[in-house]
Amino acid sequence: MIELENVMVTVKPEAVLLDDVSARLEAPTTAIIGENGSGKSTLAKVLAGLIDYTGSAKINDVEVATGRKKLSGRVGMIIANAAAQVIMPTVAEDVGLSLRHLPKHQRQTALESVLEEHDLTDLADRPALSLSSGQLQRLALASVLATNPDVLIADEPTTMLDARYAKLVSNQLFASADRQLVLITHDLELAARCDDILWVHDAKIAHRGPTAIQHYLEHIG
Amino acid sequence: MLSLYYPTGSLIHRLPTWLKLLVLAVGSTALIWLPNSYWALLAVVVPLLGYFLARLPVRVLGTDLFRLSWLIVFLLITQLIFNEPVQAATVIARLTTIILAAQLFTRTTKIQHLITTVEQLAKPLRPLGVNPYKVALAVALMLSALGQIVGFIGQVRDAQRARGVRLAAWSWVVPVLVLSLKHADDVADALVVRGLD
Repeated sequence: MIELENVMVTVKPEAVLLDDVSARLEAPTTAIIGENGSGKSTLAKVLAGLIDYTGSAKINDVEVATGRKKLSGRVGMIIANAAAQVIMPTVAEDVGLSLRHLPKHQRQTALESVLEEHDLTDLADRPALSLSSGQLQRLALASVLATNPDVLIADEPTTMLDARYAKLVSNQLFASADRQLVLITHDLELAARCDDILWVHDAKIAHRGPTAIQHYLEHIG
Repeated sequence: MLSLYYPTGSLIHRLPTWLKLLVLAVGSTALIWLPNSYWALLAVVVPLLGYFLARLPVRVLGTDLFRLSWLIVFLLITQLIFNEPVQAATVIARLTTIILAAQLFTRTTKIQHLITTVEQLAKPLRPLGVNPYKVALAVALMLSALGQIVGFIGQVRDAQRARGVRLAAWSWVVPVLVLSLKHADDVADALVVRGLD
């Protein structure tokens, strides 16, 4: 469960990126929608511990700002720039990096299973630098899901994908009932699949619930 | 990320990474004592023989030699200005041999193996507060950054060409620096979200 209480993010000179946001995210899947620059990605960064904030942001009762070690490996995030998320030289090695927590004798089997699940087996030995944006995005997702996080924050995880892989990735995002998903997206069809929807506007939660998409659409005309 | 590994399954590919690193370190150190002589140029034959034994295609060797050629030309000019020809030949022989040997190492060693070996080598430093895994990860990130920066240079030059602007030859430097800093920031975020920080 995610609890936000009076969360504020400000940067100099005097720009408020999140303005006194309070919310309790209990649903298994939550979509965050809104225009560019509205504060969606900032909210995701708060949850992933990537940005300083005031107020309180807790994931499973652990304060994000002070409990990063406790949350490490339990909260996974796919950042919007998938290329930066890939660290190792080849596809297999990058996924392998996420499987270091497993005993050595289990790693190869787990690796093969993850690659197959994400349709990356044929790309296993390909240098990550040679991948397309969509392939990088799928690799980033595979590497994060390989750590089996309790909470997954996905910032625009399907933007670079063609229709076939957008469908595959969407299904993978929604596949686990044990994992809480926070999805930041401009894809309103994908957002509609979530149990809860937050429309973020001008650094605040403007509307929440099943009608949030409708309000958002009315707003943008 | 930079990936220079070229798999052929040769004996050199299969040698333990620590042994290859040891040979590289000892060999490079030994070259310091190479006496000034035109015969020193024969040292270059050793890594070339390594390329042959590693069954690397001639085009791979050609690529590596081409990348090196600019440095050799630069060194040759500066050395001939400041040193005797025989000294210049020895310096160039030393550096070319070391760089080609290092290239051979990266061509025949998977980054994952290098990281594992670096992690093993750094283990004795644990009592001093050094995290061996972080040292190994730093090596991986350093190699990654080299590949990315090369990519950024191409990206910026393509962007300049696409806009039809003719700028000075060095005009890519500032945009590449900015992109590199932004990338470093993103990678730092990625390390956190992957629990690797």
